[in-house]
Amino acid sequence: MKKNLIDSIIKDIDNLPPMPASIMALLSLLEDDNSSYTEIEKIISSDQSLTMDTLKLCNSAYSGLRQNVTSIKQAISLLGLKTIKALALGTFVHGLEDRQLEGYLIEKGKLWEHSMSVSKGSRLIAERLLKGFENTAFTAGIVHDIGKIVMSKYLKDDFAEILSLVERTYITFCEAEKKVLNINHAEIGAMVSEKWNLPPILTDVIKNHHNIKNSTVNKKLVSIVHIADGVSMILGMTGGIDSVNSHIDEEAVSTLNLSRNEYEDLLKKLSNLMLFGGNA
Amino acid sequence: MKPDKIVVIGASTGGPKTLVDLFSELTPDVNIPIVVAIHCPFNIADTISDGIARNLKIVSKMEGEFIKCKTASHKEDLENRIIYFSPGRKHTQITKNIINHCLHIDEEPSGTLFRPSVDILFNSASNVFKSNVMGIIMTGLNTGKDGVEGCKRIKEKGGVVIAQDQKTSICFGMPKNIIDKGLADYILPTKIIAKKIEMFSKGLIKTGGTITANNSGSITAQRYSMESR
Repeated sequence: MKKNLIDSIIKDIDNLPPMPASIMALLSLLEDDNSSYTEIEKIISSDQSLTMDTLKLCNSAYSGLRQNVTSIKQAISLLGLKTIKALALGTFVHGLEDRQLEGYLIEKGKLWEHSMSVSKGSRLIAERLLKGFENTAFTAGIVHDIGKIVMSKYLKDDFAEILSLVERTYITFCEAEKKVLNINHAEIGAMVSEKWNLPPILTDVIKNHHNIKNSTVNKKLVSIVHIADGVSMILGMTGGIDSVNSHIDEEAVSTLNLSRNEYEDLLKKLSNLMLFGGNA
Repeated sequence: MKPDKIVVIGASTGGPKTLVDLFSELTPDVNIPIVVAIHCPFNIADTISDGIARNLKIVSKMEGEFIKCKTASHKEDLENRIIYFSPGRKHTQITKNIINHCLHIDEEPSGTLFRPSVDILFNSASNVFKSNVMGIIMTGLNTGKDGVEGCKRIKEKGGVVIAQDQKTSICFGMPKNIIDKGLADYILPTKIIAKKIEMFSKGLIKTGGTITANNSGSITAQRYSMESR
């Protein structure tokens, strides 16, 4: 890797905003079923900006709600503690992902839309195959592509070469990033995750969601996010050029011990969820 | 009534979302069959046709008419007002029996890079409907150039070809192939493609080879600018 490239990437990561203390507190409660209603409400309400962002996100991510959510208390009662906890974490990432990423030809808002579809898809899979990790799966979906916000600007100069490589050799966009730049968005994402002190289980997903066999913390969770991500990209939920040649690794299917029929059924459910909100 | 014209659509990467967007714009005025071949690593036909059928039902309820959406079945008659999705891992072709136009679903021919193949669908539609075919190439990667041969056949028979524009294509490779070969009569965003389908259904788009595509794409641009005024 060119030294000036990695130096520049590290500098960009250093310049990202730090994780707010309120979000860090929520992260520590991610899969803690004993965390109480008042505890979560207190953490979110203590941060005015987090409160506003969480409400905004509730109303946009769950636009099917019959009423407008105006308080954290109301949000918790409507959506449940776990969803609110995960959505609150999403507010921080939303602020960063809700931008145009020229290097990936991703329009403003589209990376966030993709992240939400992967979050919901990951939670759906975890509900069936990895009980106890539903929230972590949802949150992992939100942060899995965080490396793209740093990587985007470095793609511009080598964009034509990367795309040509994808088209000529049928490799994924992520693999082409690695071949041309010697680093990919997943590796950069892991560096971002470490800067924010995200739990190792999330860093593992961010780093290995395109490379399941390298997972060191929870291979099943990585496989879940990989499948949700693959389906979202194939369907066209990202809106970016990185969708090209997306595929789902058989390693993910075998890691989750899915039979062919179970896998086909899961793909149908995920497609229905992502394209039509899951309404049957 | 037996269909006298047809719209055929080919899409690949990003196709499902794009097709949902496209068909959500259709109105019940579209009174022709539409047949779709979509490259997808898994069988999306049932999910997408069921989902779109529900969406379209909502859109057209006020008019009292419904456009149906379904997965194509072997030997079924082709009917107006139905959107047929080629089942995964099989080719869909348009054929004729003694009385009607019908659908032929088969794993053969083998050896194509994609199944369903856009070329095979488009070629068969041109053979049966001659100039009364509108072929639409939407988002997809420039892999294998599926769609180019089919669009050539449509143009040879005097039909109309539309390529989705770059802005609304998640992946511009497939439409770009058609444009670069001078085969596209129109280069349009998703919403306007829906309008063109409606116009074609009503006989408001001339077919029969009055405009010949060239390799420079200049006629394409001229036609586009004239019609968009």
